This record gives sequence, C-alpha cells and structure tokens, in this order.
Amino acid sequence: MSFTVSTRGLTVRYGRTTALEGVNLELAAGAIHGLLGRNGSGKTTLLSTIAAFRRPAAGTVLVDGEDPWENERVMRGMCLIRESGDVQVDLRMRDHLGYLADVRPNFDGDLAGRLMDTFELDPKRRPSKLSRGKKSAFGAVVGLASRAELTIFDEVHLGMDAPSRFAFYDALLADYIEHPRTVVLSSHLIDEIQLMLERVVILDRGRLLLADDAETLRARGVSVTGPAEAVDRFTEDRTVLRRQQLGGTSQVTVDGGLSAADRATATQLGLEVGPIDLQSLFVHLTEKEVVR
Amino acid sequence: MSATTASPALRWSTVTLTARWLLRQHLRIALWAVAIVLLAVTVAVGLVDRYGSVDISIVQFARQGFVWFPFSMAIMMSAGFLNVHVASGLTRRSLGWASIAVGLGMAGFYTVVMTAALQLERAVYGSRGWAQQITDNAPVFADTSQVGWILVDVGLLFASAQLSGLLVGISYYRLGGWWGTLVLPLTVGPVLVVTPLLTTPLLDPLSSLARVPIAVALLGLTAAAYLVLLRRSPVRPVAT
Repeated sequence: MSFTVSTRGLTVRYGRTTALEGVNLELAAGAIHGLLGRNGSGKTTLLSTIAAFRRPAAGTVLVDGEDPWENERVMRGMCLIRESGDVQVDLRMRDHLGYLADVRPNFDGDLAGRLMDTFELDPKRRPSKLSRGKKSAFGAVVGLASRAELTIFDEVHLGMDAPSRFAFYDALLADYIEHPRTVVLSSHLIDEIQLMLERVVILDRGRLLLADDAETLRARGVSVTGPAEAVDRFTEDRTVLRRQQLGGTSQVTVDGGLSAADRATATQLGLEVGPIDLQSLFVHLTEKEVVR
Repeated sequence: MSATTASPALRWSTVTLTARWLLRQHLRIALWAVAIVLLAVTVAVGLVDRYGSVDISIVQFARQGFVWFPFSMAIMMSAGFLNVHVASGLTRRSLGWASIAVGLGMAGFYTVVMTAALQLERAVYGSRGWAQQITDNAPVFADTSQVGWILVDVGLLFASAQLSGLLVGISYYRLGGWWGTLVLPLTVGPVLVVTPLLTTPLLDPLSSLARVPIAVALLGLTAAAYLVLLRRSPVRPVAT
C-alpha cells in the first residue's frame, strides 16, 4: 500500500527561528510529488517532520491517517533519504544492506545489488571512504531498495554526476511503475525532474505557496518566442515571469493562459507560443519582484 | 494509481531485531577486549613473577577496562546509532529497550568473564603459592572466594557503565556539547557511586545486602533518564 500525508497548521521552530508556519498540505497516495523551494524555505524541515525525525511545535502531521511520531507501523513504512543518507558509515556497504534486509519489511536485496552495479559502488567499501557523489548514490540505493510505502528523497542527487542522476531517475521510475508508492522528491534540479512529477508542492519562506498537479501548473503560463519588438508589443499588458534575449529574438514566459484570439494575434505577429516550464514558474513565484 | 507494496509478516519484533544487531556489534568488540585483557594479564603476571614477587591480583585491574571500554561503546551506540535506526523506519522506543537489554546483557557477559578470570587466577595463584590480594580501597568482597559478592559488585558496576554510557551519549546528542558536558556529573555519576554505595559509612547501619536494591534503583533511574531523553529526541541533521 501507499501512504497519504496530511498536515494541518504545521509549525516547526528551531529556537527563535520559525522554519515552517501553518502549513496545510495533502499528499495523495501513489503519486510522485515534487517538493520545490529555495534554500531555507523549509523543505528539509517539512520532510523531517513528516518522517518523524522531529516533532512540530504546533499543528498536526498524519501519515496514512496516523501521527507518525513513534508510530511503529507508520515509521516502518517511511523512508527518508537525506543528502548522503543516514547509514552506518564505518560498516561495509554490503553489511549495511544486510542490516536493512533485516529491518525493512519490503527491502529488495536483488534490486539493491543491481543498483550497486549501476552506480559502480563496491559493496566491500565503507560509506565513510566514498566521494560525495558516491555517498549520495548509496543513499539512492537504500531509498529505492527499501520500497517504503512513503519514500522521500531530500536532495539525494547532491554531488552525483549527470549520468548517475539520470540513472537514478530511470531506476526510480522503473521501480515506481512496478511497485507504485508515494514518492516525494525534493530537488533544485527542477528541469531534470519535472517530467517525472505528478504533483508539485512549492514552499517559500516556511509557508506553503502552492500545491497542484504538475500539468495544471504547466498550463498556468505560456512561453512566447519571436522578434523582440513583436514580443514586447504582445506582452505589453501581461505579467512576464522570465525574459531572455539573443540578438533580435526574445523569449518570454507569461503568467496566465492565452485565449484563442490571443493566440491568433501572436501568430499574426509571427510569434511562437509554447508551454511553460516548471523552473520558470518556480523562479517567478519565489522571486521578490516580478520582472517587467 | 493503485498501490501494491505489501508488508510481509515480520518474524521478529523491532526490539529483538535491534537488539540482535546491537549485540552483534558489541560482541565483536567484546571478544577483542577479553582477548586483550587475558593477554595483558598473562604477560603482567609473567613479568611480575620474573622480576619480583606475585602478591596481588592482576585480574582485578581489568575491572577498569571492563568499565570504561564498554562505557565508550555505549556512548557510541546511543549517540551514533539513533540516526541510522530512525532512518531505517524504527522507533526510538525500540532502540531504547534494545540498547538497555543489550547493555545489561553485555554487563552480564563482562561480569561472568571477570568473575571467571578471578577464579582462574585464584586457582593458578593457589597452585603456585602466591597471594591473591585485592587492593581496592573499600571492596565489598575481601577475597576472591566470595563469588556471590564479586558477581554483585562487578555486575552492578558493569551495568552502571553500560547505562551511564547510554545516558552520556544521548545527553550529548540531544543537548549538545555544552549541556552534555555540564550534566556529566549526573550522567557519569552512577558509575562512580554505584559500588561505593555498597560500603559507604553514609548508609550505616544498612547492611551491604540491604543496599543492593538502592544501587539497583539508581540504575533504574539512569535507564529511565536515558529513555526519556531518547524518546523525545529529534534526529539531528546529517553531517556531510
């Protein structure tokens, strides 16, 4: 089974610093959720609180309908992989995988072995001796092979090179299709992960900015490309999220959809209209000032 | 989208699973510790016999090794294993009970080893005509024929070392360096007072036997403090 997540008025403080404030969030079961936010927006705090790594100062967290804190059933169904993972660094990786095979109810040793090969990890080595990227790769192995009902990757790709990151995305998708479960991916590499995401949650300065279907978000704006002068004229009264110019050609990302008449006008002006990418929307939504 | 990952029935409770794992780690180190102590005692006795006269127990000094070495192991277990344990989907409660059970089990192991070593030494000394004097300041046992009191004395001491080590570890983990250090008199205290409790004039006229429950209660308090700190402890960020 997959777990749902629900938070109500979730507030987490570190001393006098408020990391999360009044977050109301629903994560549906059996979907891949993207958790996006700038540095210090509260992503890791939110994920740590969901995974019972820490308690909220106020509000509630429910995972599969129950408070996860010290909840044996719920905790066994959650797996939070933070950066380089919480593994026994002075133990050989094969021994740590053996430990997980003992304690993780759905642990797949064969998958772990295949992933170790994919990431070129020597099972006889200790995590403490690995490079940052290899440590992250081992965290990815642990997270995928644990097959927890709620699997959370918090910036697990840090230090991984591009081939390893794409190997991780491929492995995640392949295993998710075979064994659907609730997956939460926190990442700054939005361009890389956006096609995997079914739902997107954006945090900003400790508050929930939005939570919606990835498709709905992508339909929220359009990109307009063409001669700079024509683009400027077309976007005169619209909210521009992002502007790029190369020579006489401009590409702008515009907030809000276009009517059929707008599209016809754009075509008359010789402009190309395309879908928006999540990264542009994210940058716009979390910026202090809108580019005009 | 349908969900398909099903949890198979587990053969072991999480406390048992954790205890098995911790015990494996402890035993691996303990066997080394025992081997080193036995080697050191044998060499020391040989040297003393060669260059002087053997008139005191050498094994009695292993007591400190069996206190502070497991104490440091217990610190590492509570401070270093919490992240791994919770990240593996297990509760702090299961770690608490498992580490206490393993700590007490290891204390029992070291107690048996120490008592057996003293008895072996007694037999060897007896056959050679050497005196096996105990030089402790206020021993609850005067000579090594009092096996029952040896078991009580070192058993309480080794158990306090284990529990105190767990408490020191979780104090540093939970409270940080400053507070962890400031509360050391409280957290290390049980190791320092548990056996003097059996002989201190402060508790006169209570007999040594009547003092044993007080010492056990002190160990109970230590374990309770450890569990309270552990069960409310957030998992600290990963050091990368």
